Amino acid sequence: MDLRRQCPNRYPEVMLLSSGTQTKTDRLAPHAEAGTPVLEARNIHKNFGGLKALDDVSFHLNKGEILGIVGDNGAGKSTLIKTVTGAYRKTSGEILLNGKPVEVENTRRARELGIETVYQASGLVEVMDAPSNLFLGREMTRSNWLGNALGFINRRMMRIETVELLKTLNIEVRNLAAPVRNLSGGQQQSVSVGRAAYWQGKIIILDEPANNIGVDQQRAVLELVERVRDSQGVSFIIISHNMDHIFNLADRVIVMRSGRMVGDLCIADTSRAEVVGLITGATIT
Amino acid sequence: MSDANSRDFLMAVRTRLDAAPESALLLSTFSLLLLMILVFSFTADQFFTLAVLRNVLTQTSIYIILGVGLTIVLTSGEIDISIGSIIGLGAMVLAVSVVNMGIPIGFGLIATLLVGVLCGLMNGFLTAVVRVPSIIVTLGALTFFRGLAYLLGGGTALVGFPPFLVWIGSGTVIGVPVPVCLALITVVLGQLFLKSTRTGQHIIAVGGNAEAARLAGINIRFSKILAFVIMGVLSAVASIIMVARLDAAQSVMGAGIELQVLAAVVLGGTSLFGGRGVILGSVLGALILTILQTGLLLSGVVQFWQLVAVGILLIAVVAIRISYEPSEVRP
Amino acid sequence: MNVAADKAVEAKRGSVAGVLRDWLDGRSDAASVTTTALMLVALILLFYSVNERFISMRNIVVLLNQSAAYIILGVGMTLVITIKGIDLSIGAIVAVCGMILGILLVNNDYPVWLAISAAIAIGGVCGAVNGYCVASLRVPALVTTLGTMVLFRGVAYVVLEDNILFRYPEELLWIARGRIFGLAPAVYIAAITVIFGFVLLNHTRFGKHIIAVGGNAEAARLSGINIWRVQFLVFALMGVVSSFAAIIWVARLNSTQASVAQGVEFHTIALVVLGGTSLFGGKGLIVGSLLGALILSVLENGLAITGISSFVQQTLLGLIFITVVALRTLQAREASQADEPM
Repeated sequence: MDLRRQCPNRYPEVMLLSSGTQTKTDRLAPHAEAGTPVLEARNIHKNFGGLKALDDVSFHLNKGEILGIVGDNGAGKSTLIKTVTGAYRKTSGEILLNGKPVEVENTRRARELGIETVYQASGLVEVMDAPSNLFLGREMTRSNWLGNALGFINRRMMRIETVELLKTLNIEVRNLAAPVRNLSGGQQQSVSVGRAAYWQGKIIILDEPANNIGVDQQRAVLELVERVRDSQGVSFIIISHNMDHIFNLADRVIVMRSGRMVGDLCIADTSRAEVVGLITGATIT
Repeated sequence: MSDANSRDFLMAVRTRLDAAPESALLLSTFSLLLLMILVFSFTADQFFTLAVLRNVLTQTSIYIILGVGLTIVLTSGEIDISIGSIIGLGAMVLAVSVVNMGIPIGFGLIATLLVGVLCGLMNGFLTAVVRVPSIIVTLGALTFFRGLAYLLGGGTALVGFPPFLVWIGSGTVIGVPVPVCLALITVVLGQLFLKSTRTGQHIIAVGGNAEAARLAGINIRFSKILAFVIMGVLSAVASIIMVARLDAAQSVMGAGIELQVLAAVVLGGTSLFGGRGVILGSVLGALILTILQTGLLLSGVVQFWQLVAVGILLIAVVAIRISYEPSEVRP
Repeated sequence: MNVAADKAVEAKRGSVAGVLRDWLDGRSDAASVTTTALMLVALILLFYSVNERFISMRNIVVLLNQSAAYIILGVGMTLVITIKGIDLSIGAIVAVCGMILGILLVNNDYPVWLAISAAIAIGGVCGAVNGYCVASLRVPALVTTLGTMVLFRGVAYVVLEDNILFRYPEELLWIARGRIFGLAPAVYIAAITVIFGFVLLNHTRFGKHIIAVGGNAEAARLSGINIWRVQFLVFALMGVVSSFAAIIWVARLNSTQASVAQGVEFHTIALVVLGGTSLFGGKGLIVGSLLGALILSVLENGLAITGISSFVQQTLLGLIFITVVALRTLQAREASQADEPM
């Protein structure tokens, strides 16, 4: 019994033009590869002292898919993501990338493996400008001997690259030299997403991407996610409280409750009521 | 037409200021310094004599060197109040090795710098690895290092240093006193390090938002330990200059200097909460402190009033500065 | 940007983990105090084995008398550190209060009760200055009290210059030298301060507010706590208890000078931390600070009795302090399971 679900990517315009099944096979064909998911987590456990934060959680992410993770406060969504990306050490369990088991010891390793994470509110150093944040931890150095030996950073190149990237992704940042705390919440979030895309993450994880920011800016960020997925074939995991966002954007959603995964549903064949029921535990699963 | 132009101009100025909050800080500190010089040039006649200026600069050079170190430590989000005791310990190591044991001055200097490195390593290790808050670590180290200094040298002054050391204290290079040269070198290197190298950027990031830095794969431990080691080495340099200027070493050397340096750095606009280090501001802050003290002295104000003036100035400057910051940044 | 709302959400999200943490915290308080008490007992036994006279009625009386000022300052500092503040100016406040006592009692012949009231009032004013700068001007406590430390000390120097004032009236000296049931009145003042501090922090609304402000100022503000009032009052209170310490200090030494109590702020912070109060705010252990003050006095007194040179004493004090705090931090980390890789 294979529990791996593959859901059609949700392109409303495509869906309108073709039949549902057609879309499904079409969308999956280029990267089906015998259904090997880009990311798979098996039987993840995570304990904090005596508290079971994650209890035997297994999930997978298909290529080019946008996977939503929902759940109540403290259900283990963020813990799950932090465990997968090496921000926490898992107590037990296995993580596979493209079918191969990998050990993600820390966040640096995760990025080397192509997993980029956009954390809620805490991913940027507010006192630094956008280029510095974009290259945080991976600064460009000058190519002369001084740069190599002493790590002199190349601000000009970093700035040029940033301008290029922001133009490509259609992100507007008023003042590149200002500390990012002077930017709006949406712009900050866009810089975070842009950073993940710039570093060619194969998998980009967004933790509450629309928290803290205005409605217009939320839409801009969500559009940016779709743009990045379409142009670069990136897979996304999105944690959100906002059912509208999940249902507008995601292809599939998994539901967490008290550290367990209680649902794995295609957006196309579920309803908000069902998902909310799973979140609160009102329905029998 | 002109209306649009002036609006553009205002926009441009705002963008500039937005982009360079540190320039604004520097400008305000610099204005304060100018104001102070102006006032003292009226109240104290001898203020602008070459001897006084040279004396002020030489005296300030120690504060400047320590200020650069403390700026880096504060930028990393930590604090070091043990620097006065590192100076005492460094002075004793220098004196005991050179005066009592007759080791060549070169090795004596190296030993002193090494002691600075070790002290910094200890502070950094306990802060970054054991994760004891740095104010507590360095509070303990303050007592510990001073105790070691007393153990090494006893309570008496050690004298009889070789000419080279005396030259460091009172010699000149093309007319510039050696301590001032050392301070200049420290400032240039410090500024380059903090603003233009990867490691410097990492220190800013760690102090600005440790969680974001960690998630970006920056080695927080290394950055913090490095900041403390730099502080230790610069404290050792300061101790060498102090010994050289007096041509004598004592265990109590540098006692209480940490608070003066902290005041200078905070006056210069460096944030106590990490992430914002203004090295040039610390230089100006150190100059303000020495000029205030020298100026009041030359103006014939009773010595003790200087303390009152320094206290009020410090609080006033920081209070004014904070009232201009966006409210969400306030602690 | 809606930071406030997000903070509130975050606070709510922690509810499950929060209950567990509360439980652990509750236990860790008791554990902290027990560790501190064990440390104190071990030290006392150690010094007893070196010199039997260490546990003698006479020495205990002396020791308690010596520690009275530390205990009082420790109670105040515990409250200050609990609101995530720090006060470096207490030594200077002691000097200013001592100065007032000296002027009123030595240079003039005012009644002792008036001088004591004046000293307490001045202490309160100094504390209020700190409180105003921190709460209203929003200057970080470290900078404020660094400034006022220099400022208050400067005032004491301007008034007293290098003079030493002595020959205080007997009524004042009685505070440190008299005996009530064998102990100096100063010890009772310390005891009352401890009880007052303990009840205030653990059994009053204001105490809960202190803990809330130190634990999460934003959450405290959202739940309607007047942060300004809490910060101002805690610093003012620190000033008032500093004046108690000053009175005891002057009575014990029978002299005042501008340089009195220099560096006492560091000893006080050290003893509060030894007692297990968290520098990150939101956790204050008055009883721990009491034990910390006793440990400090036992160490000073005991090391003196062993006849070790004062140089070694200072080194040992520093070393012991660093070791204890490092061990305590490791213990706390183990308890909280903070195992994220760095």
